[in-house]
Amino acid sequence: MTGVYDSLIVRFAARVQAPLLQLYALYVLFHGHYSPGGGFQAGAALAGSYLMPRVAEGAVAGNRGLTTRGATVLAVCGVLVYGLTGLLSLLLGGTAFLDYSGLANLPWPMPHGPAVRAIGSLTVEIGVAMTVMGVMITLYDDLVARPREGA
Amino acid sequence: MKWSALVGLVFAGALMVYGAAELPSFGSATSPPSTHVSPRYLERAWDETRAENQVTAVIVDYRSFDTLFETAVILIAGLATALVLWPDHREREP
Repeated sequence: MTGVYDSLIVRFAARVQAPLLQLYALYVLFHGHYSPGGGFQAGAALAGSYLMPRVAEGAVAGNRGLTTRGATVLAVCGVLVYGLTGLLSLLLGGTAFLDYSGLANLPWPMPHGPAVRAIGSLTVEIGVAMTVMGVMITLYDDLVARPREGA
Repeated sequence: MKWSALVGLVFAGALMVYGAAELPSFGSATSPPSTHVSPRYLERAWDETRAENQVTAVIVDYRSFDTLFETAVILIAGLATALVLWPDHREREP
């Protein structure tokens, strides 16, 4: 499986397209409030931007930036971000778990009224995107790992 | 035994067809799902959540508790699959 596509064009294209895909994924994530999109879709696109170099250059050479272990930690942190946002909004005076209006009492300036709920929604969407991205990269890396010689 | 199963199957199928005839037509504006909470979401999502996309408003605000555990399900399914594939007896590509 070394050098899956031994082609300069494929490697170069994967390298150039990955940042563009990441930029588009961030657009999908942050624009999910106004158009189709959101955390799940953005997480899939972000994972794609990290998987494209792995597919084009092989699992080790393309493994720049985010290791398998890092991806797993990222997935767990995504659920933590989501849950802690809910807990924080409850502790800061919301009426229920995940009632984002409590986030208005954060120690730094926050918008009041319904606008603060948009910020809470965005935070949990970021958590969702982190989890989807981490799980997809973890699964890909574990699937392409091959048995050790003689094991 | 096989014949009694066939009779039971036909009976159950006829019962389901009979029940399906009473279902509201697709996209009906007077069906219970369209008259209970959906109008409230559509009319007040912007005022309450500042989300122009009502799908987003429902997913991450009105029903965010559901989405929290959806995310947790993705994580648990991914971790379980990764454990099955755990590369302790494997290695990365050289």
